[in-house]
Amino acid sequence: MSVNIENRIKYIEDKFKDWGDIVKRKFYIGENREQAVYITYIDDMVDRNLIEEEIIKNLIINIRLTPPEGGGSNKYSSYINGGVTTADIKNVTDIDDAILEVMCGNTLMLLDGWDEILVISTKGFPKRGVDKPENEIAVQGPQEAFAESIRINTVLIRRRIRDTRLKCVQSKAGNVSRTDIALMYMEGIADNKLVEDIKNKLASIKTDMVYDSGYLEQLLEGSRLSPFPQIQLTERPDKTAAELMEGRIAIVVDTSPFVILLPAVLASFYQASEDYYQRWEIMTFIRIIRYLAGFVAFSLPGLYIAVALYHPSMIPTELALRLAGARQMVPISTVVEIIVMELIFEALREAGTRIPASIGSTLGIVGGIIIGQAAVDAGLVSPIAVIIIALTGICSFAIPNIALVSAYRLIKYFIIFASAMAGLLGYVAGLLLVLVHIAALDSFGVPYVAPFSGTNRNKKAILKDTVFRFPLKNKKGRHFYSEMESENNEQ
Amino acid sequence: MNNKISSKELNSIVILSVLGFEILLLPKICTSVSAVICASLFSVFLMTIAILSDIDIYENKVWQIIYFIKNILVIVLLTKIFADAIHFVMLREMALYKIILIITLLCGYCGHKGIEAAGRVAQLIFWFVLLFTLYIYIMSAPDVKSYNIIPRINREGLTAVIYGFVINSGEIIILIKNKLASEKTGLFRSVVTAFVLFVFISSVIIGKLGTTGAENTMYPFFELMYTADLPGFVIKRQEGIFISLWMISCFITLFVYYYSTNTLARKIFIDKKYIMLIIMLFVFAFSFMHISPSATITNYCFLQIIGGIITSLVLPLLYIRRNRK
Repeated sequence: MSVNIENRIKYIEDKFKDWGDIVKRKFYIGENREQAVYITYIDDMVDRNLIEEEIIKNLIINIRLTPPEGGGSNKYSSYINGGVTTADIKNVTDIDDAILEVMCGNTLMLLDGWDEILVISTKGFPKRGVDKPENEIAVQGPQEAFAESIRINTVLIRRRIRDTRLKCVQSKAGNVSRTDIALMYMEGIADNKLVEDIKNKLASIKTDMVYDSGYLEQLLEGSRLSPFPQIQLTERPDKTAAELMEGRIAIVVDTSPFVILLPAVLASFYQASEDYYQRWEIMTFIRIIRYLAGFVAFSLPGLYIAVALYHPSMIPTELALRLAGARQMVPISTVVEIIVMELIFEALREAGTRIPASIGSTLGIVGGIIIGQAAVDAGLVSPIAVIIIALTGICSFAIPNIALVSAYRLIKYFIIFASAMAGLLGYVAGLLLVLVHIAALDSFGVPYVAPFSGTNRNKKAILKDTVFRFPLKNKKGRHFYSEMESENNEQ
Repeated sequence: MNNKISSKELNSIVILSVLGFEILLLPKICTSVSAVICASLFSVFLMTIAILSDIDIYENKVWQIIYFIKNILVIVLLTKIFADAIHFVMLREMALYKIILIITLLCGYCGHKGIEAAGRVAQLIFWFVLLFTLYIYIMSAPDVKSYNIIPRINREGLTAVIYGFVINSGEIIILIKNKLASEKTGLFRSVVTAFVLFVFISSVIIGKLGTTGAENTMYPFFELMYTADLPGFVIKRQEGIFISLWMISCFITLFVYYYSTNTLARKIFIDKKYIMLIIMLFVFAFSFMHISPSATITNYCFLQIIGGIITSLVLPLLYIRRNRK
């Protein structure tokens, strides 16, 4: 590539051919207008005011009024120092890198005769501001959620950790989308090997587009066939900051309001940031409820089928008679009844997610109460089946992480089939199979069932912040995430 | 998955193994508390040898073949015993092969996933199973008739020592102790815990059913659960809970045998993933043999006693002696 400005302009204009939204201008600066300058940027992706006031006006007018000192080989830096009054500038030599910067919202500036290219940070595209969290709602605590801008998101985290050990390594992902991603971690707390592993994994990703952190999540996961999430997404900056302090690593993806947290263990999906903002007694109680609810969410329909079909003698006689009476008029088998009801509930849940919030409650009333009651009255389903499905649904909403709920929704059907096949044996075998599966899972070298199993941590330390939430005063020492390196070395 | 387990995981496996097949079989074959104590003491001796010996069954070709043959026979017979018991107590309507198939599929999957997965599962469910089981037996203890549990030193008791081979905790230690990630810690504590648990549970079963009752009943352990009445439970009959806990413990024992057999097969024959499928097919085919449940138990005891003399006693002792020299 020649350093001749005309050749470079031609190259750039060829690249941006048929780009209706590109802005380009060639003009002359200097005392005698002897220096040709070319700038280009994408309309509305930049802060126009900044370009006009801090760059163009300075270069065209101010430099002429008070010419900067310097000449010869220093004249280019004199023009830049005197004419570009913004702090965030950088010189690049590769024109393709400069073009990529233009597509990121920056402004490219060429000076005739100068072999480098100036890239001025002028990002100013329209973006959503900081809003309230929609999925991880907390009654008490900060009401801020991440937005789609990577810079807003990193700032939201930095606001909470004012420490130089908080590192933010930026790179790009996606061969075509070239999405900005930022790897954030606490130096000295996060496992160094883990940080390197993740950097290598991010560098090795081969994909054209990264639209959202969900894309990266799927590309980074170790066991892609598992329904269990091995990476956690969060929309809360306070949660991200807290997790960073525990030795986890955050990946902020531009254009996504969700930040990736690594590694992820099963216990982390049962924790909410609110757990630490309220008194420990009530939050411990709520955590126990969450674990129980999680178990009920995927196992109750299977247990009901096992007992009703194979072992009715297990339940008290009065209850067994009532169940049999309620089912007397139902024309379909228990298994079909439960599966159909579960599928209807899934459809209701899906519809509830898509429809506007203003008519969401109407759908709940029509779907849940009216149709449910009508189906029972018509003898299509038994009341106990409605209770089982409703309980399962309610319990699934008690889990604070939607990805884990989705996994449980799928596993529930597996347990139902296993129980339908072999009663209590199928139920226990199904549960054990799921347990074996999650016990074999790892999230970036951390056992998925940690700290309950797979680590050498003592039981007391485990109980402090998993099923129970001990008082904050008792929260001493390093978290198990940051101790995994030493444990792995021992092994 | 690095196929390494921690001491805690190994300890959990050893203790849970006692709550599975052992409490099903020993009260039936020992039938008196003195016999149970003798057999248990001998099993403690075997477990101690297993801990002290540094035998690595996966290194020597001859040991690999011996343990592979023993393991595969143990799996076949344990699967049959397990399936017979489930068929007898809760799924009489279901064909036996379906039960065997479910057991084989689950164990094959876990064996394929490695000992680390089995260890983690054992550690995860350890306290849940142990506390629940203890609660059940403690609540059943008041029904124990004292004259049934007075230990008497007699010939029958002394000959029951040999039944210590049927308690396979020692063998389990030999099969997986080389997979320990760190120093062996707390293993002797587990041996003592296993002994206490075993004597306590067997004493409750024999004490409640009596020597004759235990001898004449197909599965004395299941007989106990029919009569157990736990206060504060919604469900009136607790056999479902009993069986679920017992099944989990049995599966843990089988997981270890499957893992060990798979590892040995890959060393002896071919290091391919599908070798586990062949083992599963073999186990499924041979577990579905037409022999009575009592005969299966007799064959299993015979195998454990004869095979155990070599695998749990002679070979580990040889290594201890070699080390002393």
